[in-house]
Amino acid sequence: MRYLPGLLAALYLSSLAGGATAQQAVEPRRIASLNLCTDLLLLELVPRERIVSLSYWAADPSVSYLADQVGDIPLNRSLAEEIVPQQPDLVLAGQFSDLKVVDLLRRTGVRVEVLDVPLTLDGMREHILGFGELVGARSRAEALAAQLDRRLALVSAGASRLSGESPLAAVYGPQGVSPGRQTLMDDLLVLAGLRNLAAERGIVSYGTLSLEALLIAEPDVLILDEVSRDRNSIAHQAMRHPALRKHFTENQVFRLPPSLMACVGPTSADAAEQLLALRRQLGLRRP
Amino acid sequence: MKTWLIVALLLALLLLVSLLALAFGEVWLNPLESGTESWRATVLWEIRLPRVLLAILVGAVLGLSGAALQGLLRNPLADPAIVGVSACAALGAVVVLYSGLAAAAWFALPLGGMVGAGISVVLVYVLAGSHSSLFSLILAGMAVNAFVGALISLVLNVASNPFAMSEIVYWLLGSFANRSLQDVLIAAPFMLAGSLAVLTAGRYLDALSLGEETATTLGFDPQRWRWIVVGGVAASVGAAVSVSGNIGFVGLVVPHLLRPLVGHEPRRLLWVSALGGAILLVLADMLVQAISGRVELKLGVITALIGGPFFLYIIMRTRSSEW
Repeated sequence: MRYLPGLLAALYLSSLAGGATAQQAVEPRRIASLNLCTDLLLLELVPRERIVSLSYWAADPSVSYLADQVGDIPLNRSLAEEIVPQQPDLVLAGQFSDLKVVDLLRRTGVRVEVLDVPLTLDGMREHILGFGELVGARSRAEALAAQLDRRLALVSAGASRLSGESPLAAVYGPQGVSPGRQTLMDDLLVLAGLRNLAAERGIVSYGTLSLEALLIAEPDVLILDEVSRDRNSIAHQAMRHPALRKHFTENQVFRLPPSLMACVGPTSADAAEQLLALRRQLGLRRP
Repeated sequence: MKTWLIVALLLALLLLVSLLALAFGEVWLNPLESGTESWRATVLWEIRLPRVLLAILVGAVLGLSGAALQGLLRNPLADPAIVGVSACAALGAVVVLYSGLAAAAWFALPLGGMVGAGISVVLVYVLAGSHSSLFSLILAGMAVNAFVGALISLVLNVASNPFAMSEIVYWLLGSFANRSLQDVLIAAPFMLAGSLAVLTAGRYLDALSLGEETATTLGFDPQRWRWIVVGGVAASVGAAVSVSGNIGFVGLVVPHLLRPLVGHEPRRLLWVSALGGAILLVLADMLVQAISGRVELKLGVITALIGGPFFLYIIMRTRSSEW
């Protein structure tokens, strides 16, 4: 099962390679994106004059690390009536995008590519390369993928040089949600030499941890995922509970900026480096 | 059976289930013993105690309000959730919370709930009147609930809260998950004050059960007492909903279950309904924690599972006599 994403990515690449020769002559000049993760890669790889619109998430700094680079690029809400007048020659969507829009756009003759946006580090490299091929930015994509590989390898090497038992990390987000196995967060924690409480409790993908379970497990560090924490909401009440403040000292709490975790890609290397720094600190603090 | 004996038995039962609820959770902890675990005190007194206290207070408020509204409107289907008081309270709390006003003062959130509840109690009273038929009361409540449910969705959508969907569910079905002592402290004064006001009206409700004219000849000023009951219900339900969401059916089920024990005097029913409501919600909250899967169920799901069929049963039983 571990190799399935890679296999799918390889199949997907080969299908792209088949189409690539046909597309070569008409390299997309007007690209629209319906998904935050494809927004971010577009901004990374393609000159902005070739982007006709991005999803509105791209301009939200709480999830988009490139929000300040969006500038005057129009934003869309995944509505066909916004996209069609922009006359894109390529629309990028993710596997979770609204299929009705994809269908509707295709009916109007727009080329839509639904990409399997990777959810873990596994498919990252293939995804970036395939994406570069698709948007006509092959060399930039290769450079980006190589750079990310290098940075992640450095984190992994750094973690393996550390001695002692891996500290136990509990990740806690709004509504008590905690990422378990087969998530980006779990990959990053493992890479940085940390154990993931949710994964050890058998959570696959995302599940919830009760406040009680969190305290009883006695994690060495509490990693708070503060997605849109500035908003007034019930969802964040678990994270603000006095029991957490009472039980964990301030240097046992680590806040990972949510924009680093929004998509698998360049920010994943940043997050991995921050987690390795955290792992080093925890190692120092232990007897 | 003597009323005081029933009250004593219910109190003992409430104490028992509350201790059980403190002990029950992720791991079994005896609240009467001390242990060495570093997290023990935090889990018992910061996480479980607020939940149990809220279940007791909110359950008591809902049971009491149901009994009082049934007495005041002389209608067996009156219940703060069915007639729309709880939903309006939730709307008031939602407006205060998502506009950021909740941070302005400690009492802002319960105040929002109480204002919402107050508006709706008056609305129901005007719409259905004191001699409401089953029909008009339920229809008025249905209309208020649907309208207010839509308004809650609207406010959450305008607030562009990324968790809007799940929070709408919270406000419509209620939960005690992740509540802290602070939530108990901000709402408790209003829940207690409102409940006391309702309890003082017991004799008036007794008199009212003999008819409005009889109550007046017995020296009760109906205008004044009506407002005491309505105000007490609005304050206590408003404060309760503002920290727990809208938990339905408690006020309907509890008085009906306990009426056979105490007879048809509303005054005696008020006390036992408060205790019965508290016991029911403490038990329901334990059940929620026991059966929940990946995401904790909302408390209103449990109370509706119990209350929904019960509601239909009462309608069927009263249909022949009233419709």
